[in-house]
Amino acid sequence: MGSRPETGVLIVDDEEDMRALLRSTIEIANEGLKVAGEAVDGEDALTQWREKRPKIIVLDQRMPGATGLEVAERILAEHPEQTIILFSAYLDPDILDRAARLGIRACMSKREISRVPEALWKYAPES
Amino acid sequence: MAVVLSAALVGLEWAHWRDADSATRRFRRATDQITTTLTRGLGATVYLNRVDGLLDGRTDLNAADLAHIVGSLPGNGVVEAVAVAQVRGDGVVIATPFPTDTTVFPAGVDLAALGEYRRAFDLARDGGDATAAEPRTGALPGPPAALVAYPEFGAGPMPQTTEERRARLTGFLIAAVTPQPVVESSLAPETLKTTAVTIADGDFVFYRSPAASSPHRAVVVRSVAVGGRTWTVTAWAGRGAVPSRPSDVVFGGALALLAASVLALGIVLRRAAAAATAREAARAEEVRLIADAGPLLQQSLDLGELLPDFAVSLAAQFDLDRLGVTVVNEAGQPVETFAIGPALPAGRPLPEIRGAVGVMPPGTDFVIPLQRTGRSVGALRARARRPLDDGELRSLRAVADLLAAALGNAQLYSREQETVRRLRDLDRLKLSFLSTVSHELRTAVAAIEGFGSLLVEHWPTLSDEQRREFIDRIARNASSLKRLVDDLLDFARLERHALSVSPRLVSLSELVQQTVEQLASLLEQHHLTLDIKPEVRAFTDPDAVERILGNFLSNAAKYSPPGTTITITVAPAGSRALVSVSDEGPGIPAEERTRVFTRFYRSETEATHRTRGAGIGLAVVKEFADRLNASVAVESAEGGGARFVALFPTEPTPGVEPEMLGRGVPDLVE
Repeated sequence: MGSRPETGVLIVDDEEDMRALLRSTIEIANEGLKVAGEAVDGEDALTQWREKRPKIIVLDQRMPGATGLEVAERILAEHPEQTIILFSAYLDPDILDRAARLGIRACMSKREISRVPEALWKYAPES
Repeated sequence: MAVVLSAALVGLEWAHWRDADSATRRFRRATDQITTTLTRGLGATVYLNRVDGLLDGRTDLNAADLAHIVGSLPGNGVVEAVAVAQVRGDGVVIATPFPTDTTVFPAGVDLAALGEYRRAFDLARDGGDATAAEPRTGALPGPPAALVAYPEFGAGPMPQTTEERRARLTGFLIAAVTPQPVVESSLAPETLKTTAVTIADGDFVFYRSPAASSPHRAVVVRSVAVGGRTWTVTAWAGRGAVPSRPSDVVFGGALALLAASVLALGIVLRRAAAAATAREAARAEEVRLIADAGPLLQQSLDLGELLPDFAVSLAAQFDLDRLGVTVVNEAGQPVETFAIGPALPAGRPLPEIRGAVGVMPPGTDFVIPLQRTGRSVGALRARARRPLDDGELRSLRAVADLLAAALGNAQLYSREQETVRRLRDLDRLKLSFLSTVSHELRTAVAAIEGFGSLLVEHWPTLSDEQRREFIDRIARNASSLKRLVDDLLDFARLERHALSVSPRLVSLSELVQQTVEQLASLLEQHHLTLDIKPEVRAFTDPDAVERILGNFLSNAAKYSPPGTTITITVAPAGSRALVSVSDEGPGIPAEERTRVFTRFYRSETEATHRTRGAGIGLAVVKEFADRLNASVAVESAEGGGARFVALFPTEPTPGVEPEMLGRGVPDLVE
């Protein structure tokens, strides 16, 4: 795995602690993962996504302004191949269903933060 | 009355007229008979033609022969006297008169010498026929009589030409014809008293009865031929013979009076009928108004929509130029809800319509109380342009009763709506609160768990700096978790109204100083200015003050940008003690300043969304303040930030002193 090209990750979360936790988790895991940027809300996420073209977006669902699903919808409308992992404090069936229909690759609970690197490797695009 | 009198007058006049008319008709029949009799009598002069024929043209008869010949003349005296007159030269001399003793035709008199007869003799001679002389009064002795001359031409056939007649004329049979004996022999003296009779030849009147000066009524006119002339017999009712007809003027006047009276009565009756119809229509309209208003008012739950239309139709119906509806509000105060027309001068007591009141004069303001189950719910006051009678006032009261019922319904409905709205709002706020709390709990727990795991799993490889950072983050989230748990507990207590306080006399100056020191971690990113006056005391609960101040500071820290200043003030304020926290954040819009103290309320601003919070802190502050007889408020700080203020009592006296709600102190939220 070590030979894989570096996978840039965009972290989107309004909570500073959560962004720090994700960043630390990804950085400690290392193994070809790199935090490409951090966004505090939907608009920030769109700007940074267009600028930094991360391979994966880890997206919080509950944020002020646009929700994670709404941000995902806009990004996937522009670039359907974009890998997005929805990262939420709670995941109800409705959110899971909508995420699947939008084309979001995976949904993870914030309680499973230690499994984030694993998920990133799994869903990282080959190219 | 006028009609009756004039009708009676006309009736009398009419009866009079009819009687007179009937009598006149009867009398005309009588006069008709009289004139027939008289003309027949006068017509008897035709027998003179027979006498003429019997003479055979002779003029030399002696008296005995003549008496024999004229014996066939009628005995009614119409022919007063006859005579044979002989032509002697130019004269016509009476030769043989009959009766022999008559004075009318004295023997030997030359009648032609009397100029008035000459022409008659000449006409009779030349025409060969009987000719009556032009009547002249006094030409012959005795009563007025007509002289009729029959030409005699001697023996042989009748001469055919004037020449022949002139040559052969021997004399005349002459007759004095007078109507008087005919009248006197034909009519009873009584009849002549009541009946006017005249017999005339043109302008010359032969006979005039004693009653002939009477005005002409029931007149009958007949003509009869006498000796080639025409006599006119006229008979009419004498004075008093028939009742006089009423004067046309009087009868016409009575008729005009009757017509005028009937016309006037007609107008009066029509007006009365029109007024009655109008009253009926108005009453029907009132009934319709009540009938229409009933269901409408009973079913209406929003009087604001209904009242204007209803009031306008009410005003139109009763001709009201002023109408107002006052409703007693929940505080028992009358509130003018709706009014049309000019405002009512204040302070004047108005007559109340309760029982029967008779008639309300125009331009009088009055009040109808609106009552429901004996409780006053308001009042309807009005003023009419016209007098309102008892029936109309009853109708108005009926409408007012309906209105009172409707007001009661509307108030009940409004209260229920308000309750439902509050419960819905509260429900929504609770859901939002629980959702927020659960999100924040998960976030805090996730952070603690996540950083904890990193520390546990990667301790040996982590730098000191990383370890330090992770531990700090765990500690901060633990604090946050504690506040959330406190909020949740407060929430539970608020729900049970179980926040308890134990007020006592404390030094507010010291208490605030200590609390600020304990909460220092909240304020690390801000500059802090303390303006704490010494020896400010308050009668309050120290734990509650800590919670109040903690919430104020936590809000200030959350909503004002890092690096700005937060100012804490403690100072005496009249008979109270003031604690305030000012920040340099965006402030709170004026319209939200009272709502921020309601449970679960979170502002919809962007700043709120960026901060954690359950919307419970300020509600807890308010709850504590209420229990401590303290007041809390938020106002705009200098520079546009928020300034939260709490005023604590300094003595154990319940209640808020109104004079404190003044200068320099923000509006207090109770």
